[in-house]
Amino acid sequence: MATQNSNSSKEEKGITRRNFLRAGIWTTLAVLAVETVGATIASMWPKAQSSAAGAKVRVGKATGFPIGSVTFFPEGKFFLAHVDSGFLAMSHVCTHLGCIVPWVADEKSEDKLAEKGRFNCPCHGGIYDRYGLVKAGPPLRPLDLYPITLNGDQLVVDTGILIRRQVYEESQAVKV
Amino acid sequence: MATENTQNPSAAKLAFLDKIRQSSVWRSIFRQGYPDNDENRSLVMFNSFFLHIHPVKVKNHTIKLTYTWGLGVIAAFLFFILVVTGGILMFFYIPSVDKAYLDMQLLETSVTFGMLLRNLHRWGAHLMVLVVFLHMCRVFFTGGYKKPREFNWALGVILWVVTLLLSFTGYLLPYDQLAYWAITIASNIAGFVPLIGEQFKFFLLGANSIGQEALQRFYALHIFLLPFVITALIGVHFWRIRKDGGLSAPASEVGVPSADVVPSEAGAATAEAILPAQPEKTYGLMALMKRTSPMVGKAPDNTVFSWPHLMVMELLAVLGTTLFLLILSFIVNAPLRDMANPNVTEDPAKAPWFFSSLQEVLLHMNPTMAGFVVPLVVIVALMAIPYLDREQKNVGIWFDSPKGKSICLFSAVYTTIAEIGLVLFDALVQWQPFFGESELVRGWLVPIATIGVLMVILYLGLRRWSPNRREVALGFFTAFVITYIVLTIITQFFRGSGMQLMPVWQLPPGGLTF
Ligand code: HEM
Ligand code: FES
Repeated sequence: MATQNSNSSKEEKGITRRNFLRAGIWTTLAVLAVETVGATIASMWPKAQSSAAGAKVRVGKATGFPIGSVTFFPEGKFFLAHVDSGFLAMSHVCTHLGCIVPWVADEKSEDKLAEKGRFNCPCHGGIYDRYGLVKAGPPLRPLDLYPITLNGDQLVVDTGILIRRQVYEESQAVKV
Repeated sequence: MATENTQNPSAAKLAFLDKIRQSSVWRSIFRQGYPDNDENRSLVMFNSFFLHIHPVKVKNHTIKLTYTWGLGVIAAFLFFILVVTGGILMFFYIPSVDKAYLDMQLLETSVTFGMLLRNLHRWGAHLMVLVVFLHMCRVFFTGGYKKPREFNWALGVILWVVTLLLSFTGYLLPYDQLAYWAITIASNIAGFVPLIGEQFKFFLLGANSIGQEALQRFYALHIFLLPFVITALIGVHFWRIRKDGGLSAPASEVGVPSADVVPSEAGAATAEAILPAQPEKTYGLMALMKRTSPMVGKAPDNTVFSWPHLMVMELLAVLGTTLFLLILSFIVNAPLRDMANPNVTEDPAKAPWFFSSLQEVLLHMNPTMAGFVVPLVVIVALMAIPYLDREQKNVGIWFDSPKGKSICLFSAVYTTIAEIGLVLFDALVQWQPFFGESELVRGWLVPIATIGVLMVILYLGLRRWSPNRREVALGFFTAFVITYIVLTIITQFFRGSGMQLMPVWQLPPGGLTF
């Protein structure tokens, strides 16, 4: 009895061979599992980071676009809107889930600049006004902007830089 | 002898067939004789690889058409058809953004039976999604998920999800307009998963935008990874059906003498004398150990031999499915829209019908909520059902009881009205300005509160019946199914240009997706 007791208390102190091996096996398995999953993800992780560099698009003289007009430029994939405080160049990608929003010229306007015209997203009923502001539906922010610069009297849109915005401020529009 | 043979050629034929069946080659393949006696009916189930997933005997109740409607078998068979037709499609299809769409056109125009092949695969997939959903409904409404089948139910929910994923990944492969914009929306939803969203989307697409990498990844998922996963899961699903004691059945159906064994003239009185007191199960003796075995203590029960009773039912299910799918594929052609065009989204851009309800939900709340939280909650809640409702009464009875039926009816009517009311309200009433600009309020709190209130009202309505947990589950599952159906119908048939509400006869051309 006495020897047995001392035996068991000895065992409690150190690690038994059995426990050592058991811990070793489980650790090996765990490391292998993590490595396998990790290596699979790592090997499948996309390398391509390139997004085609956007070009600068010359859209022409400001005088060609009356106030309230919205013009699409297919080569740059943006809309040029002339609002009361100046020009906005807006991406045609819906900020909700990425569908392409067309300009619908003959639907009721959602702003005060004109009677008609707004953006209707075909996917979840998102509606934007001339300023790119969300008037209905689930999109979370206004249409993204591209910066506009003036080259003499020519408007130039840089489609390489996309600007996210939460609200409309007059400073977003470029005055001519 | 000779004259006899000429007079009766069929006897000669039989004798000849018999000779073949006696031959050593035949006997090496089929160890037992034709299953026309009980011994061979048992042996055929043991000896045949293809039949061995069946038990030797099944409950009388199991082969009742109106119990399972054969839906599980049909789902499995449809998957088989999809593997075969999909395999043939792989001979004609290259997963490349330049070639995929042209390959589909070539398949339709210049491959013999190419259009039929494509139709079989496409409609087979849609049918499988439908049948799996119906199968889930049948299991729920008959209480087939109850102990000891909880785990198989949870497994089934995963099977449902994988079926949807298979269908969806396949939807993208033709690389037409439907495909391209479905991928766009789905990957952007993935981007709204909390914390890892952007990386997840990047990983799924294999690039920053949709292109060759994305098509190739979805191709690998569709033709290898997901079929592999679903095959394994179906295997476990079937294994569990056996280990859970065969199909569920009402208590009254278990433990009654079998009509197969008791001659009908003998009557019930002599049943005890004829039947052994021990179970009639024919398990091979592997080893002896102290355990209970499946179905112990349930004999003598009301069973019939799987051969021929179950075999005939399965054959009918398979034949019926084949005929239906063939006829459908002869009559209706699978859609192929214009080639994918990243610069134009079709208007309206509708999801495939089985995701229509999700698309409808996306119209009304924050994308993270609609695309991530709602599906996750639905899946988890479905899987949790058998662990929350442990009521063992009325297993195997459709809708539980007359009371259960009233509860389902009430829930269905209530949900239909509530759903239609909500959709109309959101379309006609400008409620957003009332809650200010905050997305937290508009996109999250308002929808959660609305759903919460509607569920509380449903529960209060159910209180009239002072329901037990099974009956509460009946009410809520019915609400889920009806929501799915009503939202699908609204999105498919009552939303047109710009996804605005409009009656079905005013839908623009291409307004329906299937
Ligand atoms: C690929 C999809 C599936 C296949 C091939 C499949 C196949 C089957 C088959 C052949 C049966 C035998 C009874 C019958 O035909 O009804 C069955 C039973 C069962 N299935 Fe599935 N199933 C699938 C998906 C599901 C889903 C989505 C659920 C539920 C969420 C589910 C839960 C069950 C349960 C609990 C049983 C046992 C029912 C009872 O004993 O009454 N299965 N399944
Ligand atoms: S993608 Fe435009 S509203 Fe959803």
